[in-house]
Amino acid sequence: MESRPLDNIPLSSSTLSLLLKNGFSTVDDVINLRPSELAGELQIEPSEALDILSIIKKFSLGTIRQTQTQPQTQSFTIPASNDRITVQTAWEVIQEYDSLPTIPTLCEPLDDLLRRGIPVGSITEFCGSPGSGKTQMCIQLCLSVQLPASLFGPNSEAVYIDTEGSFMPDRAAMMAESLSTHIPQAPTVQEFLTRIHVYRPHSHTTLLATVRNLPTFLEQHPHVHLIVIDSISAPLRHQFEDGISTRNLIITEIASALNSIAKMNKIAVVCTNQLTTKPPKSQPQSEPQQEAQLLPALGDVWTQHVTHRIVLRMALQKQTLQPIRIATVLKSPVALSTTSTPFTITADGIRSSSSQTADPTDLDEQNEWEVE
Amino acid sequence: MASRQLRRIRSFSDLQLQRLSNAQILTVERFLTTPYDLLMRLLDVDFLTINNLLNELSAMATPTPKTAWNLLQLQNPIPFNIPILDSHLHGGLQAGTITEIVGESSSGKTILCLQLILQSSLLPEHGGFGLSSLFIDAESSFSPRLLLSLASARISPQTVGASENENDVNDTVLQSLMSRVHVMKVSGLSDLARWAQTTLEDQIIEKKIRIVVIDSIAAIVNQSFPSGTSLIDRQHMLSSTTAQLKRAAELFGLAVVITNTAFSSSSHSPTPSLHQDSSLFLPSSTLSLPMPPPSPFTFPSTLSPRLGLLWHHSVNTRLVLVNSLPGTISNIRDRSDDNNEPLNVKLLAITKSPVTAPLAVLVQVDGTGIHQFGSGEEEDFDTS
Repeated sequence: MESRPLDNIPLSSSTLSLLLKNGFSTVDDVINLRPSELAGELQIEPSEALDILSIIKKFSLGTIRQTQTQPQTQSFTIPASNDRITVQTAWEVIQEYDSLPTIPTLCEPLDDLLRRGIPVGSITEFCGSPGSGKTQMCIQLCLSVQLPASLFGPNSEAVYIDTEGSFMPDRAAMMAESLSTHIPQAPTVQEFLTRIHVYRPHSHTTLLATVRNLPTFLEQHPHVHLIVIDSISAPLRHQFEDGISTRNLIITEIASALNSIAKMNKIAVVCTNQLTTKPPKSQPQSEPQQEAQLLPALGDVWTQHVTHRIVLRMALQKQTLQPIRIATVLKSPVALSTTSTPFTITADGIRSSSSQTADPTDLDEQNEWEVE
Repeated sequence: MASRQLRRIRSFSDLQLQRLSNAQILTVERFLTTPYDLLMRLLDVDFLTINNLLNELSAMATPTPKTAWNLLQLQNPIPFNIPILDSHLHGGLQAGTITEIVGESSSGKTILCLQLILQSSLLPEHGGFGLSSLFIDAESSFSPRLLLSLASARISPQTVGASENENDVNDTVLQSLMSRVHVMKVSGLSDLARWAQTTLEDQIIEKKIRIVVIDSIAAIVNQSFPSGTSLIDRQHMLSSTTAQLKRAAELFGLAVVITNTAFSSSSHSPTPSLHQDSSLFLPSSTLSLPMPPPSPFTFPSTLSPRLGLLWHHSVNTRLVLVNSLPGTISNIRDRSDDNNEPLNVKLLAITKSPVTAPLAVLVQVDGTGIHQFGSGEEEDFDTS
């Protein structure tokens, strides 16, 4: 195997040029040197040489492992960190997925569609038009993660990153009260609410900083099993001074930070997303004008990081003309096809819809969804 | 503290600061949004050092989290003085949020705003909060006379038997009340955006403002847009102004009320003129798309609030005032005892709220304000 060139390693430019000037060009040239030897070669302090070596070692792990690592014992756990890569069989992956705790939405049909609720270890997105129940769903999840019946054990906590100012402690208290009266051994309202930590960043920078700072917070609060961002798109929809590329950079940073937090700490990450109107393509006069489309905001840069996407919306039942809330799983590795279920929002929170007539074909569709 | 200057942070050497400032990276905010590779080149350090720096600066820029329980203790809503509405909204207007009041012209938007201003400006002995308010007037709709008459109705409901002495006392009360209400005229969205960016905080702190009313946002957006500004630019400016307002609202425990006009249209067949009018913001066909009837009322299909989806996403609570519904007013007439008196009854509906389901109340508008109409039982409307 070719050894990795040194300019592939994220070293500072002055260090890199020093190494190259002294004839070191690949990782192999350097990796087996002792710090004192390297220091002598480069005419630098041994401590600096040690720093250089440790960075090179850290970032060239992939090449070293081929000779050093032992075959992994079969493992049912998610790799604890990035530098331990295990190979699993498909059967093991299924077993692992089924053994992971999930957070119930308390709407049974929706939980079934997602196989037992919102999974940990990945990003789940709820999108929908204003007033479609996104925030309600998020508050509900912050409470249901603390239920004694869930697999997280006692003292589970949740982080709520509220970028829209729509987290209503009153509403959370209402929903918590219902849970604590109906479910034996549930926490009290005060306990429920003290275990929800609310951040209120108001700009894309503070959101980015908050997400970057989450690992530190999680060290201090190891019982956090759910991170909610309501909404991911609100701070990212203003005009960016430096144009779209900065925006995409920030979206990617936030998304990859969230993904790694979700995987490393076995945390469920739930984001809400706004809808945006995509203007119809301009057509020649003769063709009929296309309808404008409603799509989740932020575009493909964000969508590719989302593992599960659930659309919340209202529709009219054809016969009764009553409005009904529908949750549609649009993208999920566990749901086999795009499937919908009705749900309701009561004073107690998110619940399954009582009306059994909610056959999706019976609905007057308010908007058609493009499936990716 | 995202706007903190980098030179106030000890992590950088003079040379590094010089290089950063040459690249126009002066604040923490800017540093955090600069790509890794550029930072590595500028500071001449390795990836891990950059990572540590970014973590350090992120920790500085992160807001302090509060638990939901703490937030619950901090709540201090301003009531509308419309009992059903207040009980469903958990006390009324919540600080830290943006409430939008939508309605056609003369549907009672301004009087509802004045009532809220009165509530926050009245002294505690008269049932208010004794705090100041700011009225941002874009339509010249602010009427001090109306506010005065609302106020005197609240302070002394029985003015008939009042002695001269009491009237004098009331005059001083009213005078101090009126001096706590600040009125600002703006022309155009860019004005508003600049104000939110710069002097908003100064005014809040200096004048102890508790509630900000903007009447109306549609008028502000419609005013004086230099030609060449695209629709998208407007929407972005609007959205970033809202974000500024929300930030201030959250920091200072402020309630923000924004009125918005609506245009009547039948959503299925927009007439050409309406289509043209609404195309300022979004095609009207898309406006009606995301708004299915939230409850068994017919009005959303005939009443479309202006400014489109992005705006709708950024308000927390939306109230709709409807002048009259065919069919319902005649029912009320039948029920009311005195048919000779013309009743000014409107429908006030909550169509979006994080705390309650869609709901509608009948309200009555008169010289003393907006009051709940009827016994207090919720009116049940059928689609007719």
